[in-house]
Amino acid sequence: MIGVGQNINRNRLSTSWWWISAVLISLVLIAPLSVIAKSLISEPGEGWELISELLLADYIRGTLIMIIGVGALTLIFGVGSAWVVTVWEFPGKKFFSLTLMLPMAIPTYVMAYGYSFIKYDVRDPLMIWIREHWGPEVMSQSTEIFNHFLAILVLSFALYPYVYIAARIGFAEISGAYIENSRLLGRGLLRSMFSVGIPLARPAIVGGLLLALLEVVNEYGAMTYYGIETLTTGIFVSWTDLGDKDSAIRLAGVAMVVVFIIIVVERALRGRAKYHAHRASYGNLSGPTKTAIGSFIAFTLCAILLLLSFVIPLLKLTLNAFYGWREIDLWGLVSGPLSDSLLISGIACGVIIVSALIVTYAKRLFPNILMKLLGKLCMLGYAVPGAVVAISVLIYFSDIGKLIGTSSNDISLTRIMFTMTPIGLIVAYAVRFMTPALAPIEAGMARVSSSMDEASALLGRSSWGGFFRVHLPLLRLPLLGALIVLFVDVLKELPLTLVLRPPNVETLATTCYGLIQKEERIADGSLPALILIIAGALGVLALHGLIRRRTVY
Amino acid sequence: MRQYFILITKVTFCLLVFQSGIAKAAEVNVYSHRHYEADDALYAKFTKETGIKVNIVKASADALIERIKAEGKDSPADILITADAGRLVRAQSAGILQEAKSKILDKQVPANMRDDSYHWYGFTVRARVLIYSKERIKPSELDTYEDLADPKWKGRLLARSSSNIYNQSLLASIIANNGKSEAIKWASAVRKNMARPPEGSDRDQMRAVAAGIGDVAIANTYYVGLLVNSSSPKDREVASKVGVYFPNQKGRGAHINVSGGGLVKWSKNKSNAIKLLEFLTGPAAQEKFPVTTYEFPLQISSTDSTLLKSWGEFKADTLSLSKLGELNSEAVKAFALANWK
Repeated sequence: MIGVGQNINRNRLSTSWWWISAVLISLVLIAPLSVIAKSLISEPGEGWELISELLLADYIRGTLIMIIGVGALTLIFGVGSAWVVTVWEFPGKKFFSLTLMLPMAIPTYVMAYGYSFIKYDVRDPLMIWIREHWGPEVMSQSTEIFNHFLAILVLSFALYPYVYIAARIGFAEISGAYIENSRLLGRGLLRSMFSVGIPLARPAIVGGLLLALLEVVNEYGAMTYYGIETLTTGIFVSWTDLGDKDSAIRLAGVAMVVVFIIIVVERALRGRAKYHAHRASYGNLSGPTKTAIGSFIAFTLCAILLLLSFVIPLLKLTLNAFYGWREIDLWGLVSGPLSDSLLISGIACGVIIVSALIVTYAKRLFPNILMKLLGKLCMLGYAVPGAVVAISVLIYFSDIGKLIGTSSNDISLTRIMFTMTPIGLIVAYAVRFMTPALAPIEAGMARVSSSMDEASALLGRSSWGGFFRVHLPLLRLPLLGALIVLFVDVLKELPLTLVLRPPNVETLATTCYGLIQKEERIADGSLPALILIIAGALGVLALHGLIRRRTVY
Repeated sequence: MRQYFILITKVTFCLLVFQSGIAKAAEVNVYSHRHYEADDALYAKFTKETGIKVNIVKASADALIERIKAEGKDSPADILITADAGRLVRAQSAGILQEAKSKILDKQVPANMRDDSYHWYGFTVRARVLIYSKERIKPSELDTYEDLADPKWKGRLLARSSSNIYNQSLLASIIANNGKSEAIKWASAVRKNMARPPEGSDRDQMRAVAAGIGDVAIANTYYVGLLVNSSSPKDREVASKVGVYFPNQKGRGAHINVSGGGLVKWSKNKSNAIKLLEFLTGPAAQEKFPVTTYEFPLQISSTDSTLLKSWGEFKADTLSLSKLGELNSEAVKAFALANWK
């Protein structure tokens, strides 16, 4: 299929560039994880016995409960709202289609703090009432159950936009004709969602769900806040409490197995079927305005979701931030953490997107086992808690640094990567965040029929031509979707940043973590949290504006 | 090839340079677990007095220990600061600290609050005490940590997760005093007496006492100070509803711990680092801690803070804090066996 025609030599040269760089990129990203693999093979430390006998079952149970709960809710919130704003004409449709993405700008631990009032003002009185009626045992158990529900709800508010954005992109690429046909056949919009929308947008939706679930597996702050034990909290228990890094890395290995299962299931759910929907008529996606009652319902559903997932936590933070008089060092926040955050996130996003494009396109050019395996392995970093990624990257590159040796006392690989510049931090972001870039790009590329490549090759275009003239234009939507997710993800990232940032560098996330979580200075911490959310939200809006301007729909 | 490599890295460095730990004349690089902004003010004061610039990386002690281990001799770190002696002992046994011999340090830091072999020094003291509801509990009903295992406390106790180092050090002190099997029994009984599964911070335990979820919480003293001086009226109300009780006053005394620092093995600014440790343990800083972070100074009773004084004089456990670090992993195991998550 490649190298058809007379350009065969030129094509070979240009195509081998793709796989060589893809392999190199994958190796840089996968190699640090070998540190984890190494300790999986090695003899378990003494802590492992304790963990596997007493704790492991609870960790797995906690992780599964959260995966199932958050998975179900993010699907309902994300797909439901995406469908409503895609097919329904109602007042406020444009507004909601935009703003429903915004909750993803709120880090989960900040969302948990935004909802802390539920804990104190709703749960505690309720629990005391329960104790008066059923005794302390029941209170203790109900507290636990309530915490699980609250954690699932709060995480779903923060994570449903991953599904929402993916579903919007999936739905946007379905020709309106399919839905019209379905409706001509007498199906309502709700039934059309199940019979047409979801099946056709399934690869995209499942890709979004995958991201949300991986975030759940990796969640630390919100889980400890609600006292829920998962594999990730277990990693910190064995690492920080038992001082047993090897057991921690083993648990990370177990978490990776869980993620691997999720990825396999995702692949199965995506199915063998390849839907190459025609994209003839974007314009016809929305149906005509329905009944007033229908519009009212659509409006109410969207409004409630937006209120709960964005307006209430944001309002709570704003109230906190401006509570009482005190000196606010706004300029200090803007010149320090905000600019550091934006600069680092920007560079990291660029590096990650380009790497993901190269890896994905190389896999398409060479759909062999090696490429597929590398593509999958690149996604593993998303399953590993940030702190473990940080340590792996650090250990790996300082080992290499020792191999290279140092030319002088001041300059060494370790110092350059981790002390003088944030290069090490950015590499670690790439190890950790390839998945949010790879997943949508892969899903997008899968939707481009392979006859396109063939046509491009037949017309004498090299693989470069195929990439820039065929794939990039067709990938615009998934690419921008990936960029949104990535930008916000890196901006919010905490544990990895805490460990690997160069001296004196504070990002918005580390600032508000220090103030809110460590010092519980909610009022002081709410301001950087607000700036973080606003920066993320602006990023989301700007990129969305790009999508709208560049596409026809 | 190597020249190219160096050239490339230098160019990248110029492009990406951040205001960071580039070797300058007078500076000291601190890896700190302490997140308090008040500390920054102290460092600023230190810089003003000595002209030595303080560069800081703030992260959890364990992450910082791993970072120093990985960086090895390339590590820019001069001082590692943690919020607990146990972590300092861990850093010491990981071989990343070195002796910081200084007559001033030896004079300023009491013997049980520093390492016998000069690897680390405490600079603030915190006591882990019982916080009780003034409405429902009379101080005379309280006695010792051991007493919390009594069935009379069923459904009335509150404590945070055992993954918290302060709880681990408390249990380590119980292991040191009563033995391992007694400690497991104690942890198990206390866990069964809890009003709800462990969750949240020390301050959350106090909030729950104030709200009536439970009657007695285990917490560190300075958190009471933080609530008393909180900008939130709700937190101030919580503070007004709870009392501080120092347990085991007839016996070994209340459990204490320190926040402290150690000199990193590969320190390149050794004399500056020792100067900073001397500053933190010296009178200027010691005066500040009680009023900014509400921690006790190294000489516990020598403070003018009315708040700290209002809790009353108390007898502190004189157990060597190195012991807490040595027994830390035993304590973690005991918690796991006692099902205190």
